[in-house]
Amino acid sequence: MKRIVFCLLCISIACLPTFYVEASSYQGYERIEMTSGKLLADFTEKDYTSYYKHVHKLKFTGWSVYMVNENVKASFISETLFSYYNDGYTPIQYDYKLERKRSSKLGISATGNIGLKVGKDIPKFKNNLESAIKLSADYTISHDEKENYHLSFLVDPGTQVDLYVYGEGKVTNGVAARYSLFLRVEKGGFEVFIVTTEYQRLEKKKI
Amino acid sequence: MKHALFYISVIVLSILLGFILSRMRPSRIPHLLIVDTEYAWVGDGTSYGQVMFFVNDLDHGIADEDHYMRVLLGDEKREKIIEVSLYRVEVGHVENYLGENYHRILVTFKLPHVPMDMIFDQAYLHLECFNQDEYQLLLGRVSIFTPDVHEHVISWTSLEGFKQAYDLRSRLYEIRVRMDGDIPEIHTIDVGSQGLTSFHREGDWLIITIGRAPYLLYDVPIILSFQDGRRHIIASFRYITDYVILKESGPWIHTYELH
Repeated sequence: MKRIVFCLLCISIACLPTFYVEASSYQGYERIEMTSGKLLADFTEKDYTSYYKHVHKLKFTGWSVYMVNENVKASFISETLFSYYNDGYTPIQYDYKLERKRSSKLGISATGNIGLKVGKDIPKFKNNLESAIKLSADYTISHDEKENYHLSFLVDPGTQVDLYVYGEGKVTNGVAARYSLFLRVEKGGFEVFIVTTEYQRLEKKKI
Repeated sequence: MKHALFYISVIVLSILLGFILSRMRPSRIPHLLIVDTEYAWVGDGTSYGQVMFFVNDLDHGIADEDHYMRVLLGDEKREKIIEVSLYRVEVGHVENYLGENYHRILVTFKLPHVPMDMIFDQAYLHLECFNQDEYQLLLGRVSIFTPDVHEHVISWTSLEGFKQAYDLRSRLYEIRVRMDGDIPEIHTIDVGSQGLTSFHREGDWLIITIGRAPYLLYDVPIILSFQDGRRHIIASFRYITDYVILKESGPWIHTYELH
């Protein structure tokens, strides 16, 4: 009887449903291009099959990780930070205080049943996958970080002003499996994206 | 009995050893890092200036704006100096440098109106605190332009800037300004950099190239001087925001020990 229960338990763990999780701002970017390799979102079933072979091993406990891309340079086009228009008849001297949370420089995502902890500011993987990936110190994020920046410019009548952000970053992704008592309890893909440089573009257009 | 005595001795010796080792561990010295930077602003009485430095101890008073009494910008001997009005001290992003985490501290101040351009080749930030502490930090080069000679001459529709290809430091190399309408002949362009600044036109675009200089440069105004003597100022704009500043700026970093 005990053996039957144990077998059923093993089967139920092995058949855990696979679902997709995402919890980062970088996936909302209009475009991300890597200098080589693929983003996690572009991994195919064939890719997963091939990568999972590296993490399917006999392990008593902990994570088994296979890195597919490590610190690969990427460029991105981000969101519009603000948009302002003057529909009046006289030019307006516009002063804008731009407040940005620095935790937005780090984004993570996962597939399969690797979990994410979406805290107040800092995104993290569940069950301490970060330690197993051995992310470099560049990926450190501290507590609540905000930076303010003042912008001042003249907006002519019938003109809209937009501030865009684009830039460069680094991508690390791969697949991982977590074992507990030789049983595979979590499996999926992971990805970490860090922004290294942002360029800002201010554009005025007639409306 | 002998066995028990042996085990007790081992435990006591281990505790003693642990205590001695913990006393021998050097206590962490708070450090402040500052990177040579070219700062340029327009001093019109309403505009803001922002300087940055890095600290590895957020509990130190220099990271707390409540400790600040006066903020001054000037040369080392205070022969040429201006007082600025502190607006805010903020904690920015974290960087790891030589195995330690450093928090970026951003000091923002309101600039006074300046009747003529002021240039400090070796500019210092003089901080005077309520607890009588005084700090004198080498910023780099500071230019504060007067707004008095500004005339509205041109109309721009787009502003963007880039670093030089493969240069990982936070230094502007090229600024692109898209112009609208007729543009009088430009005589010179100044962005407050020591580096040689040149420019050329490509259709509607004005391309400004900034030469090399051993400073960071990421937030500048553009001062356009025309052949007819008029001057147009495009206000400061942060073209680049870098999150890996220290690692790429090695020789330009000054280290201060905080007490």
